[in-house]
Amino acid sequence: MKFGKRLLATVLAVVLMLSLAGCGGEKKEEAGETKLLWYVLGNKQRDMETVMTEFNKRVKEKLGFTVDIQVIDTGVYAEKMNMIISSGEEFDLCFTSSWSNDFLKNAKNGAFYALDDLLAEEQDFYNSIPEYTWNSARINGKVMAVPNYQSYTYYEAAAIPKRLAEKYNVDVEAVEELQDLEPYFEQIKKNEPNLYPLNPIGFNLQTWIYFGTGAPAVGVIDADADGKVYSIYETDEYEQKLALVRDYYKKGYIRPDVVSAAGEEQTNTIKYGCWRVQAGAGTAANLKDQYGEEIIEIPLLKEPVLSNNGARATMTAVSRTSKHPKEALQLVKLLNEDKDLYNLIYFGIEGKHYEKIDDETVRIIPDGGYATTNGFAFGSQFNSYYIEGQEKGLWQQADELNRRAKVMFLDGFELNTDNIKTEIANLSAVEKEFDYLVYGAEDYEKLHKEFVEKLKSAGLEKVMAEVQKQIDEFIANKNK
Amino acid sequence: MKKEKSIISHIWLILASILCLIPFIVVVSVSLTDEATLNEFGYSIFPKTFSLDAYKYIFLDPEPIIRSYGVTIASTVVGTVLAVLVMSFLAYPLSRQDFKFKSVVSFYVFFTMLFSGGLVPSYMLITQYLYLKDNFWVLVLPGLVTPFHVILFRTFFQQLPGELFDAAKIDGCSDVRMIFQVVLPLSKPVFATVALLGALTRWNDWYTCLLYINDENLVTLQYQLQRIMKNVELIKTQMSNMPMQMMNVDVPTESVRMALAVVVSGPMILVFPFFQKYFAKGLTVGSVKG
Repeated sequence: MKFGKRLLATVLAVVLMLSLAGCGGEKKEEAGETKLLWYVLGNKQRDMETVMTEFNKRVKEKLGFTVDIQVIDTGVYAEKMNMIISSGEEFDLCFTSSWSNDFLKNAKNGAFYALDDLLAEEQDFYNSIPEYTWNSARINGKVMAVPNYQSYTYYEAAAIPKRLAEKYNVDVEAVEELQDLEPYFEQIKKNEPNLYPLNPIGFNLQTWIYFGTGAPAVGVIDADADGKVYSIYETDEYEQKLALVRDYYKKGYIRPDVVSAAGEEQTNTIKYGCWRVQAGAGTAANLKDQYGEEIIEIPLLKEPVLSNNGARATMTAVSRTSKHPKEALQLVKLLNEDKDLYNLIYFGIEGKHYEKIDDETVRIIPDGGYATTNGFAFGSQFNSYYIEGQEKGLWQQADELNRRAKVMFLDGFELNTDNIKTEIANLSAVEKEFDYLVYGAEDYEKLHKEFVEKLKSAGLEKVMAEVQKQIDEFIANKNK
Repeated sequence: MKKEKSIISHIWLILASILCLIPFIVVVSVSLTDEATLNEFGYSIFPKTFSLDAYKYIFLDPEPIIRSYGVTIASTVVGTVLAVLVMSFLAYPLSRQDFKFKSVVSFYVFFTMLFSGGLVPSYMLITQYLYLKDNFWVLVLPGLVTPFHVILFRTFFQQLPGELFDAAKIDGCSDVRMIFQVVLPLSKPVFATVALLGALTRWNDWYTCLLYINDENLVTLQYQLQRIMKNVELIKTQMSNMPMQMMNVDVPTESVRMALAVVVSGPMILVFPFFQKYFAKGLTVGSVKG
């Protein structure tokens, strides 16, 4: 009896707490007070609140409203945003890109607010970054997001730790292709028992010569600019590459368990003598930061290329559910124009989270409680301070490269996959099934034939015809 | 003959338990190995070099882990106690022949076993109507009633002798008192089973936290682990597309990850044996008249 009563009381108490908690959770906007909600990805910072208070003080001064910036853990950002967007939740701004919270999918599904009309009033802002970046943000002719301007010019490169390059006398200047590094691989194999000489993963054929069309296994040669499509895996270059990696595997330059270790990441410990990086302005400093020692990047492609739709690497979109699209764009614009504000959200507060080494360079205070890695998500990267170790003038260099870079003739092309959805899914599956071929662990001749056969039965020809048709149309429109 | 058989089955069971044990031993061993050795030799069952660095790294700033322990323990305890109460309260009338709306309520419960609204609608319900985003109760409330567990309860209650209830009633026992003083003491195995199943699910749940929690103070233990794995996964798959800075995301070394796994799952492994004796009993209970 006593026991029953006590239990009942507990239950009632809990129920009461529940109902209270339910009320407390409700958020209402105070009258007249606009507060934007902005979702970005990143690592949560212990001292976010201090920074946000200061940030809001300044935003309020300049624009008359405040912002709630919600940082969501990088790894789960896409999943969470997917839920937020598909449930039609109200928010104002979000980070979107080709690699998390997919821009293309969301923009096509109408999740974002078309910015053309608002941008028309902001010509200075619009003209502050190259036109092709806006083109990357266009879906069906409408600008669906604001690109966060950064370095878009990349070259394929082989990365080698500097200490090893010096130890084994690698003549970096003389290296033109991967094969020139063979003597180095041999040395590593002989003298560095802790390292595998080469990580073959990522050395990507497509980016050497071909550019993606949006369909798997189908590419075009940019230099030709005629838009003729090729089946990438049937080219001589692909076969040569297979022969090369096979040879390296046999010589012991590639780890024996490469296929099963394919997904293994090399995040901050060096496990290989040489691996592939996509290098650009500032990569050297980043690599040094990552591995704690100097890494040399050896370009494997003479001419730097503008990565296709590179601007989609980091963008900010205004949500269709936003009640304040105009204010939202104002905020994005302010963050792109006001260097101090941008650096505040990027580096935190001077003296507390970072210290200035000179006018343009900062050192982040360890354990300061604010050391972000998501600065790119808030605005033009070229507005940021240099982090200790980055060379000065880097941003100007990168900006210049960006503006000089050759815009690929396919830039802005967006494959419409409506008619070939099944085939594309099949092709991707086949592509995935055989991707281990480029690791060299098995004799490739027979497998390569099988690969091509399977691609064909998966509908390669139909896809090629469709892609060709759309590219021809694209070129015709362009030349009009 | 009989002896031979038991030897064979013993060998068989020993093998099976070794197979279950090995992964766990490897995890513990990796967590005690230093990173350099791991890079050189890979995983092994016994640590080649002994090092507590991974644990030192975790407990350097133990606050997040301790806080998460608090959240996980609170949500598991509160959730499990509430769930067992709510479900037994629901199952008890369903087990009684004299309950008028028995079939209707049963249908209402079991319908959800086959059909659910789906993820997006439940997300909308929880965030836009119940306002439970970033609220502790979101870790407790949504899973309070599991239809399968209700069936377990009902089946168990049904096989309790009906004469007992009649006798209690004649002595003037109310329905509520009946549950606490007649049904509950007789049904310990089923309560223990459901509590254990529920506690395990709650302890291991990270998806609820992923969806609804963005407040660092309410992050559960499993989510701490899971987000590290998700970060690693993202870097693995999207490396070539993401901005370089992103690569500097703090990804713990392998031994730290394994040490975290040990720290997170340890207590559950210790608790399990205490429930075990009820557990086996409770499971067979449901099967006879299911």
